[in-house]
Amino acid sequence: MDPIERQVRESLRTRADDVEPTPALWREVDRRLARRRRLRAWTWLPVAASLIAAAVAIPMVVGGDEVPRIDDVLGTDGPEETPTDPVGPDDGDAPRDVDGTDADEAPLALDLPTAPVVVAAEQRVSLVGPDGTLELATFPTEGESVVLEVAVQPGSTPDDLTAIVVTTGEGFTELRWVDVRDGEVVGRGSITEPPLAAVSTTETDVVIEGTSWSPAGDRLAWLERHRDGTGTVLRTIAWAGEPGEGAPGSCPAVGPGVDECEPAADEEVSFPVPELDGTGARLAGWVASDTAAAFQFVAPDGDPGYWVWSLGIGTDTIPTVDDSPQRIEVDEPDVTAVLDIAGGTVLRRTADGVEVVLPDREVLATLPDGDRREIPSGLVAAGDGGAFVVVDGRLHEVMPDGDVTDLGAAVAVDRVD
Amino acid sequence: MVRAGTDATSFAAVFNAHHRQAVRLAYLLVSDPHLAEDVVSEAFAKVYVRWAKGGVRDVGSYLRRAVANEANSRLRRRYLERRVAEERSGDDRGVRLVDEHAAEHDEVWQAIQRLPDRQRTAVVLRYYEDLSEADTAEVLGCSVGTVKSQVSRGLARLQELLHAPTAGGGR
Repeated sequence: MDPIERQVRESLRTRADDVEPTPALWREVDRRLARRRRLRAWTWLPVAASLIAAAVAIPMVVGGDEVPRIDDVLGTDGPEETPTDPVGPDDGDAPRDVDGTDADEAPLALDLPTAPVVVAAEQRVSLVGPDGTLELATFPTEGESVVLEVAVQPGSTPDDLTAIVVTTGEGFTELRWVDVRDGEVVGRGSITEPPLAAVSTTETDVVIEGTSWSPAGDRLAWLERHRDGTGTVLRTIAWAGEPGEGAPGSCPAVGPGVDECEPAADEEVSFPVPELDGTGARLAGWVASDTAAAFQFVAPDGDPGYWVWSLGIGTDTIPTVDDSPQRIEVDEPDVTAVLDIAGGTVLRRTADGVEVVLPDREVLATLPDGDRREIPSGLVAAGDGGAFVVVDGRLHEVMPDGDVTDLGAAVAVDRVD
Repeated sequence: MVRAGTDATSFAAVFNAHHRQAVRLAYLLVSDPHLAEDVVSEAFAKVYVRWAKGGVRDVGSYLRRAVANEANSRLRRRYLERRVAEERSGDDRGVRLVDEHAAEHDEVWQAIQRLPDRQRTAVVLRYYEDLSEADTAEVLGCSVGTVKSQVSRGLARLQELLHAPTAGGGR
């Protein structure tokens, strides 16, 4: 062992020996455990379980921005406080149950439908699930960074997750990423320099929007709006654990309307898309079929209906794609079309929810609410002091006392049980 | 090894067996005794969730990881936690520092506190917890190579700090 190692070890042990915990530590642990156990006991009660089921259903049909108070749903004042009798360790008594109840009376796990989600609030991105909330990223309010959107890598699970976060602050847009492994945040980074990013984050003349993963999760795409005359660019980068990593890519075939394709590096390919200059088109998704892959853009124009333009990419041939934006007419005045998701299948929002409409106009299914970027309304999780409910694509925390907090826009995460 | 169980009564025994070591580890990672207590409290609460389901085979190892992760998370919000700690300065919470004066005059400790968070955590796990590089990597959720580089850089940085004129003329 080197001298410096010996010095470090000696110092650490000496300093550690200086530290002695106090009984206040157990009281604090006891308080947190009691809180968790009280909630479990509450949610296990059959009447509570059935009423929570009602809490799932009601937001589905209510829609809109108004979230019912849990009191209105449950018809109860919520769980009763269980008197606690904290018992500190080393106090001469045998340790007792942490909340003074018989441990056999309360189950230790919930049996409720769960759907973990990544939530983007203005200054925070979180993973919310049945095991609690994991903060993925926070941004200081002083710098006025605001989260614009989040894209979760396909195949992500609550324990192994990669999320792309687009933030804006002080005049520039930034792409950040967060990695979660085994349920813990293990890495964060920013995509800040060329060729992966358009320009350094010190530049303010580019806006990034519409981050979208390839269906396989091995590439990431986004749309860049350059204000310096470059115009609109669709940029894609490889991703294998971190940006720019992965198998060397080849320049995709040029799609209709695209007059050049010059990959700056194997890990990055960009497409000038002049057709989208000055439009409000959004990159809606990266879809794939057996023979081709395509980016799809959606542009509303204020009239019933919307524009969709599919830009194909491939390796051997140019796939069949639209050679110009296609207008999708919508007859129903109360329908705001949402997305053309694949092969002419359309998601459209109606008063009843979101319909999945096949190319032959047959309605395949009606979802409670939400669009491709959102998740259906419903109960996400109940535990740890309340319930999490998605309404209209936004996650709300509902406390037992009826307080409701809008936590932000929600993005679904796959669950692997 | 402490076997996992579902009897909440025995969790106090788990606490008894591990809390002192956990608090000391947390203190070495965050420096602030008040913050160390918060870190350990939350770590125990997280361990309890899995322990109660019978999902923790080695509580000590799981708790160590929970403390390291929670400490890392808290360090990112340190400026807020400091404010909380200041507000608590008048109550009976927190851990006792037996010899604060000695800590302030321990040049190595002062230098350790100036390490970047990841280097500091790796160094503490290696030289206080005596974890192997592989075990340290498991706690940190990174590769063994990353642990090696973090520890190596940390030690190099410590040597720089201890021999820099601003560090009081070296040791």
